[in-house]
Amino acid sequence: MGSEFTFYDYFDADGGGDNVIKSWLNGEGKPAKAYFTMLIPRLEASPPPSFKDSVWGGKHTKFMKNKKGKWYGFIELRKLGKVQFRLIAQMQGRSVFLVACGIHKGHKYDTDVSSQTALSRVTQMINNPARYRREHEYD
Amino acid sequence: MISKTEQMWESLHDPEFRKQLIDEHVNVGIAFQIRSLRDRQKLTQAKLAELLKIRQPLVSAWENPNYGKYTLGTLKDLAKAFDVGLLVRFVPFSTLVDWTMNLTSDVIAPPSFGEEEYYHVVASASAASNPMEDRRDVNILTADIEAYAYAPKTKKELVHA
Repeated sequence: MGSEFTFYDYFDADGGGDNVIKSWLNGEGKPAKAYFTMLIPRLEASPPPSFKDSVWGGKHTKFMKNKKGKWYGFIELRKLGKVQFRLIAQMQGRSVFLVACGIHKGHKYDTDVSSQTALSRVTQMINNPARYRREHEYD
Repeated sequence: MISKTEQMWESLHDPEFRKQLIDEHVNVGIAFQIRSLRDRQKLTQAKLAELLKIRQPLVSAWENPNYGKYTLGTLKDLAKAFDVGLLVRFVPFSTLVDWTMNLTSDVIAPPSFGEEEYYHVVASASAASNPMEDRRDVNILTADIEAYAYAPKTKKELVHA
């Protein structure tokens, strides 16, 4: 059996021309880079969330639904601690689109994009994959 | 375009990243294996705790990738409870990278001795009836183990499948 899922990073083709997720993991999110490097291949190998022996769900991958439903359908990959590191993703079929990233300090949730932008990024990645998405990069 | 394995190798040039990777490989890897093995063997956290004569919240903590305080004694007890082998060894980073980038759900939650034995008996019986088909039987054994691992085990999974 091979991979169950493929992770993709958002590529900012219209802005800085860089892989947004990769840049974050090598910058602000660097303390969590090793964690996500170990987490993502395991999620890729795990059966979908509806299967009983899936490792999706739990404290490391939270399915988001806030009061206003703004983030409905999105998933947070989380490294918990005093400072929490989060990657925001959306799962569509066997693809997982990593679209935003940020840190959480106390009550402040600091992501660099709003839910609307995140949704727009997912749409871009689906409609024009060659331009807006890259298979998740580990360097 | 370089492969994912080569990409991870590039990251390893940072000594701090190598140190963190050792921690996270154990923290994330063990937590996921406990959760997946428990699910594969249809054990609740409470049942596993009962087998190990510990309290259920400790099992919950072990399944959290941020826990990171496993002892060798804990790992040995868990391997015995799950009836699976346990390898604790030092390896070159290239081995760790290859292992990580080629994970499958059967590697994360390996079959117990009983499950392996069942398929071994099936394969042996099949080989005895037709010794010329030994090689084919090995393939059948592998396919059967994978089929078992991926077979829907709950009503919800049946719907999904």
